[in-house]
Amino acid sequence: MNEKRKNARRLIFPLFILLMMFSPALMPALRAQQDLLTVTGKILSDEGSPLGGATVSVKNARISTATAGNGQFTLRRVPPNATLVVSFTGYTTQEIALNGEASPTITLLKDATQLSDVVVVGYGTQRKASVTGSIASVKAADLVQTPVANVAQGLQARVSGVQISQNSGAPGGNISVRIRGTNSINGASEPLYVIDGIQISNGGGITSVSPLSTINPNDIESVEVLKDASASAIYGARAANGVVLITTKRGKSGATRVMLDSYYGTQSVTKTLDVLNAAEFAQLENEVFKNNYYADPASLGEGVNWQKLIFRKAPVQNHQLSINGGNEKTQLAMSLNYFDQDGIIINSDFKRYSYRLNLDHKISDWLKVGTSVLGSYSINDGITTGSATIGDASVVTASILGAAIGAPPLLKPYRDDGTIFPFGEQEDGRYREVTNPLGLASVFNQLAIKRNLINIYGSATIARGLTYRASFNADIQSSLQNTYSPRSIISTRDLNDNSGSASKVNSNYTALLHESMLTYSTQFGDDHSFKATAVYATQVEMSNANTINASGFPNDVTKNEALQLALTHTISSSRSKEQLESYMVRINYGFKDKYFLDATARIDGSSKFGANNKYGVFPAVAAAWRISEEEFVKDISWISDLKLRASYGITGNAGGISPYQSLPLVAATGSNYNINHAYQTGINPTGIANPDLRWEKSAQTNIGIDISLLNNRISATAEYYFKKTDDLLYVLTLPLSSGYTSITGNFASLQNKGFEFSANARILDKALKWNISGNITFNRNKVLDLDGGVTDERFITAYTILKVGEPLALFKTYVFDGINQTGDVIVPGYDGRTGGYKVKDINKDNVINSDDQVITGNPNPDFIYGFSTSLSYKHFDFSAFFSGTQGNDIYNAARLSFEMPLGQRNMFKGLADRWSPTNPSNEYVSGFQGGRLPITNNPIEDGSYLRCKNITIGYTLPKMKGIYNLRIYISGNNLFTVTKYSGFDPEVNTYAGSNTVIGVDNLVYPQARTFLGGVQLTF
Amino acid sequence: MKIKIKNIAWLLLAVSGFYSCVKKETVYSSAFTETFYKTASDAEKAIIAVYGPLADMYSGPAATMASDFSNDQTYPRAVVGRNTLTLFSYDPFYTAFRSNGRINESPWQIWTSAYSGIEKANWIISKLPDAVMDETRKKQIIGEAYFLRAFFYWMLAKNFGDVPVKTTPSSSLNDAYTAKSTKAEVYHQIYSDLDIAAAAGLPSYPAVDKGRPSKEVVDALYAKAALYNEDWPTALQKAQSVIGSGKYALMTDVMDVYRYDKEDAARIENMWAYEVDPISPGRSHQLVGLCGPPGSAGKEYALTSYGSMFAYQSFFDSFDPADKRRQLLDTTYINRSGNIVHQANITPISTQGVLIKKYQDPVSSIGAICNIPIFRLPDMYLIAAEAEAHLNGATTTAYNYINAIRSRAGLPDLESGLGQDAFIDAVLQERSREFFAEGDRWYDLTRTGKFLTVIPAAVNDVYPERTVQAKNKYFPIPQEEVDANPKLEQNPDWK
Repeated sequence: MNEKRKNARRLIFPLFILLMMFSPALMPALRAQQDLLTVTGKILSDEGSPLGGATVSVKNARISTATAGNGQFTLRRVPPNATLVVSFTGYTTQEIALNGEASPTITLLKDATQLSDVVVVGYGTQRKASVTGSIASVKAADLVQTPVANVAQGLQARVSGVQISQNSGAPGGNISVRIRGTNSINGASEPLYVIDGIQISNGGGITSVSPLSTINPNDIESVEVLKDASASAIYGARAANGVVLITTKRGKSGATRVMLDSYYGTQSVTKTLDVLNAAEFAQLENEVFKNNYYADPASLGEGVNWQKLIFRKAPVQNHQLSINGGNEKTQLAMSLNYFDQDGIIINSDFKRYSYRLNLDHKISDWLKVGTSVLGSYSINDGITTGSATIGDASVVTASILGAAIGAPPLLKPYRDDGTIFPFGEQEDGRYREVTNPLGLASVFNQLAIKRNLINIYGSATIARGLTYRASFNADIQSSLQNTYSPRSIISTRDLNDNSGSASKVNSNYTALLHESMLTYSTQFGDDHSFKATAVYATQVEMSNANTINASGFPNDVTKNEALQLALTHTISSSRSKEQLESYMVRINYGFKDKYFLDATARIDGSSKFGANNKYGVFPAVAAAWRISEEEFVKDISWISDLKLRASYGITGNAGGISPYQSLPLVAATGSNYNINHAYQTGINPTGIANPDLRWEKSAQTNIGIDISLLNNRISATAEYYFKKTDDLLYVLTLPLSSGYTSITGNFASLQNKGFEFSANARILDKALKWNISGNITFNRNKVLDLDGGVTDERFITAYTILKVGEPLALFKTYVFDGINQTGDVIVPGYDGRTGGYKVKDINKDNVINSDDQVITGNPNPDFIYGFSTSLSYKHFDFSAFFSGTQGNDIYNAARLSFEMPLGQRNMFKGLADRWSPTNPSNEYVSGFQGGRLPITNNPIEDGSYLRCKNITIGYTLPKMKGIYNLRIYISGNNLFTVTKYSGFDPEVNTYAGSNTVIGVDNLVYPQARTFLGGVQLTF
Repeated sequence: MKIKIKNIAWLLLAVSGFYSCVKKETVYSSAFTETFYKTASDAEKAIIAVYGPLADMYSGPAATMASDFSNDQTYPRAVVGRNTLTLFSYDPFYTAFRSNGRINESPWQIWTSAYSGIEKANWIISKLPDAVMDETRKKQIIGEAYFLRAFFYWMLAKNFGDVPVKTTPSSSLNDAYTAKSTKAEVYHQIYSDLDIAAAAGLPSYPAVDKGRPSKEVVDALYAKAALYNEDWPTALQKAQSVIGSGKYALMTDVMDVYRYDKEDAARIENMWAYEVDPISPGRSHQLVGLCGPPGSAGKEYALTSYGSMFAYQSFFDSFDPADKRRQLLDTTYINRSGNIVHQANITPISTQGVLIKKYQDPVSSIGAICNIPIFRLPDMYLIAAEAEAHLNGATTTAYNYINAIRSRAGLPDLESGLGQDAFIDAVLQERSREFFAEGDRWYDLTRTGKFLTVIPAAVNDVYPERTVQAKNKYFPIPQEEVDANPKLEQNPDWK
C-alpha cells in the first residue's frame, strides 16, 4: 500500500524542491518577545572615518542592517545581552557583546593580515591561509585601472607567471594569455576561463574578436589565476594551460548603492614609420625600371603621407551604471554598461552594450538560490592589418598598414569629386598591384556578437557541514559576420563580373552545463579540519554556422544587404556537437592550522576523444606548512607569516581537438573540377582516422613560499615550477605518398620551467600612503620530442623552426653579411648579385644552401615583469604602472617587404641610402627589378621594452550631502615605451595565437596612446 | 534530515536528464569512409575528387613549369623563386619556392598532387566495386580511376624516377609509409592500370564528357608512358591504335588549336587537357597572366597580364620562318592605345623578350578559357615516328608520321634518307616546336640525356649562364617527404 504513496512522494519532492529553488518563499521567523532594545550606533574605521555600507547583525538572530554613509546604524528589537557582528570588506569582522549598551561606537580594524580572506578556487572558496596551490588574485580596481575592453588586458603584468600579449591594438582585438609558458605546439595554449562557474573557451587569431571582449570588465569583482596542477586539476582535461576564474560582483546586504562610473578619452598612434617621399620614390622607380618614368623626380617633393591619412585621433568612452544592495535574505547587483572605442586606424571600432543581474536569495535556513545573468551585444568593425606573406602582392593589397607604407607617395588619394581614386587609374595603371589604403578602409567587415551567460544555482544545507549545490549554466552566443568589398575601389579596367563581393556568416553556439556538487566540511576536535567536495558535471556544446558568399554586384548601393542581386553565390553550412562528462572529488585536510594537505582527482570523458581513449584521469596532491605557526618562529616578531607549499599533479588540455577529428571522414574539400564547362564538386576522405586521439597531458611540480614581514607591511611570494607536457598534439607531417599531408595526434612533448616572484610593500600608511608592488617571471621552454625522434627540426615559416632540445619558435636564417660590393666574388646558390645582400657562407663550402642557415634569434623573453606604485594623501591619489619584457627577439618581417625595392611600391626611408656604384652602402640594397632578398637575420631586432602602461591622478571630493563618494581622475595609458625596436610596437605578433610562430611583426594594428578623464560617483 | 537526503537523491536523478553519452559522436556535416562509396552519386562525386589534384598540379601550373622553366624554349622573369628551375639552383628543400610561397609552381606540387590523386583513386578502386549502381557506369568510373592513377604515376616517374607505388588506401597510420619502387616497377603498375582502364568501356570522342579521358586517351597515355619507358613496340602499337581509331584528326590551321574561341572545335585534336573555364567558382591557371605582356598592356593577350614568362630568342630563331607555329611566338605586340610595342620594350628584364601566344584570352575577367593540353594527336604521330625509327630505322612509315605534322605546320617534308639517329633527332626537334609551353620538352631532353648539352647553350641576357648537372635529370624528392618517411630514400644524385 505504501508503494503508491512512496511513488507519489518521489515525484512530489523533486518538484517541490525545484519549485522552492525558483520561487522566493518568505517565511519570517518568529521569536519570543523579550525586553528589547533599539540600538543606534556608529561604525568607524581604524582611522576614525565613518564606514558606510558595513553590515551589522545580531548574532544568532535575524536582525541585520547596513550602516549609512555617516557610519550610523539602527537595529530594533535587540536583546540587551546580544552580541553584534560587524563586518565590512577589507576589515576584520568584529563581535561585540552589547551588555545593555544602546549606542555603541565600534571601530573596525583594517584586515592587515588578509589571511582570513577567502580566495575563489575551482568549485568553491578557500581561506587564504589554507591554500596549498599556486593561485594569484587580481582585484577589480587593478583590472580596470587602464581602459580595457577585455579582462585579459587588465591582467597584463599584474600576475607573475602569466605572459599576456596584446597581439593587436585593434579595438576588441585579440590577446594571447600564456600561464607558465606555452605548453602546446599544435593544440590550444589559452587558459580555461570560468565566469561565475561557467566554463568558456577562448580562441586565438588576429582577425578574430576576443571572446572575452564580450564580457564587461567592470562587472568583475575578482580574477583568480590558477597556475599549478593542484589548483587547476579540478578542471581536468581543460586545465593544463591554467585556469582563470572570473567572479562577477554580487549584491551585498546593506544600503543600496547607485554607482555611476564614466570615462572619456582620446587615443592616438605612438609613432609612424618613415618612408620615401615622392621625389625619392620617383628616383627609385627610374632606377628599378631602368626607365625615365619621371623626368624630374626632385620636382615631386614630399607627396602624399599615406600613414597620416589612415591614422586618426580616436575617442574611447565607457559608462557604467551599477546598483548594489539587498537585505539579509535577498541581495542583488545589477549593471548597465556602454563601451565605445574607435580605432586609431580609420574605419575600425568596437562597441559593446552589456548588462548584468546577480541575485541571491535565501529561501530558508537551509536553502539558497541565485542567478547571474550576463548579456552583451558587441559590434566590431575590423580592418585587416596583418599579412602572412613577405614581399608578395598581398602585403600591399590585404593589409591597410602595408598599403599605406607601400602606396606611391606621388599618387592621389581622391579623385577631384572626392571619391577614392583607385591606383589602377593613375600613372597608366603601373601601380595597380598596390591597393589605395583608403579603398581598403572602405571594405566593410563587421562582426556583431550577442552573448548571454546564465547561471542558476540552488544550494541546500542538508546537514551540519553538508551542502548540496546544483547549478545550471548556459552560454548562448550568436554572431553575424558581414563583409562587403565595394566596386568603387576597383579601377575601371579591373572591374569584372565578380566585382563587388559580400559575405554573411551566421554562427550559433550553445553550451549547456550542469554541475551537481556535494561539499562536506567538519572539524574533528580542535586540531583537524576536513573538507570534501564531490562534483558530477555534464556539458554539451553545439555549434552551427551558415555562410553565404556572393560576388558580382551591379553597384554598391545595397552593400551586402541584398545578396540576391549578386551574379554568383556560394553557400556552405556546418553543424557540430561535443559532449563532456566529468566526475571529480577533492579533499582538504588541515591540522592545527599549520599543516595542510589537499588531494584532487577528476575524470573527464569527451566525445571528441578517439574511441580508444574516451576518459582521462587527472589527479593532484598538494601540501602546505605554515612555518610561522611553529613555536620556534612565532617569537620572531618581524615574521608575520611564512608558508611553504608544494604540489604535484597531472592536468589535461583538449582545447586543440575539434569534434570528429579522430574519425575517418569524407567531405568536400575543394577537390573539384570542370567537366563539360561546369564546376563539379568532389567528395573524398579528409584524413587518416586516429582512434588514439586524446588530451595533452601535463605533469607539473610547484614549490612556493609565501612570506609576510613587519606586521604584513611587506609580503612576497616566490615560486618554482617544472611542467612537462607529453602526448602533445602535433601535426605530424605524413609522407605525401600516403595521400595526406599530415595527421594530428599525440606525438610530441615539451617542458616549461620557471621561477616567479611577486612582492608588495606598504611603505607608508599614515596620512600619506605609499604602496609598491611588482612581479617578475622567468620561464624557460624546451621542445623535448616532436614525433618519436624522427624529426629533429622543422621549418614552420621561412624563418621560424621547431627544434628538439630548443625553445619554441626560434628564428633560423642566413646570416646577413652586408652588401655585395663591386668586385666582390658572389658565392653561388642564393641569387646574390652586386648591390644585393651578401650572405655568410657559414660552412665555407663555397655554395650558399640550407646548410648555411643557422639559429639567429629567440623570440622568447629572458624575463617579463610588471611593477606599480600608488600614493595617496588626503583627497589625492596617484598611481603608476609599468610592464616590460627583456631579451626577446622580434623578426621584423615588414622590413623584408619594404627594404626590397622591387619597384611599383614605396619603401622604408632607409632605401634613400641604397647601394649604388657610387654609394657603397653596406646596409640597403640597390634598386632592382625581380628577384628577392634572401631571408637573413637582418630584420631580427631586440624586442625588449619597458612600457609605462598607466599613470592616474585622482581626487576624491570632500563629503557632500546626498553623495556618498565622488572621485574624478585623469589617466594616461601607454604613455611611453623604452625600446630599441624600430617597428610600430615591440609588443607584437602577427601570428597571434600561434605557439610555434611568435615575435613576428608583419605589420599589426599598433597600440594607441590614450589620455582620458573619468568620474566615479556613488549615491 | 533523512528526507532531505532523499530529496537530494531525487534532484540528482532529475538533473541526470542532462546525462549524455560521450562514447559516440554524432556527426552532422560529413560522412565516414564506411558510409560513403555506396551509391551512384557517391561514385560520381568520388571520381571528381580524383580530378581535383590534377587541377592543383596544373593551376600553378607546376605540371608545365617544371619542364618549361628548365628547358631551352621558355624562361620566367626572375621573381618569387621562379628562376631556381632555370638556373638549376633548387635544392631538396625547395627553399626558394617555399620561402616565396610558390610551392604550387614547383615539382613538389607535382609530388603532392599526384599522391593525393592516387589516394583518392585507391579509395574508389578498393570501395566502389561494392557500390549499388548501374554496373556499366560503375565500371567506367573505376576505369577512370585506374587511368588517372596511371597518369599520376607517369607524372611522378618522369619527374622523380624511382618512386613509392601504393595501390591501397591509407586506413591507418601504418598504411602511410611506403618504400620506393624501381622505375621498371612503376611503369609495370602504369601498364597494368591502363590495361584495366582500356577495358572499362570508356566512351570515345565526341561522346566523352569534356575533361574526361576517352578510350583513345587511355592508349595515348599508354603510348607516351611506353615512350618514356623506352618500350618502343608498345609505344608504336598504342600510338598507332590512337591514330588508327579515326576518332581524332589534326586541325587544318595549327593556330586554331589554341584560339580561345575555338576551344571546343579543337577537341578533335586536343584529346585531353586540363580544363579551365571563365566561371567562378571554377578551375583556372596562371599561364594567361604570365605569358601576356607586363602591366596588362597587350590587348589580344589578356585583361590582366604580368609579363612573367617569355621564350628564348634562340628558340624563336630556330624556327623556319615558314613554320606556322612560329606565329605562336611574337617579338612585338599592340598595346591598348593601338601602338606597336617593339621587342626592346616588351619587358624591362631583356631587350630580347619573345612573347608566347598559346594562352591568349583577351575576354575573360574571371578564370580563363585556355585549357592546357595534356595529350594532342600530333604527340601520337611523333611518338609513332620515334618508336618506329627505334625499332626499324627511318622507314617510310616513320617519315609519314613526322611529315603529317610538318605539312600541317606549313613545312616541306623532312629531308629524306636520314640515318636512324638523325631521324630521331629530327623527331625531337619537331616535338620541340610542336609542344613548346605545354610541359613536354624537358622530358624529351632528360629521357635522351640531351639536357646536358642543350641547356648550357640555351642562354640569353637574363640568364647568361646555366649550369646543369647530371643530377638534374630528375628533380629531388622533396626533403620533407624523405624526412617524414623512414622507408624512403632521396634520389641518389641528390643525397
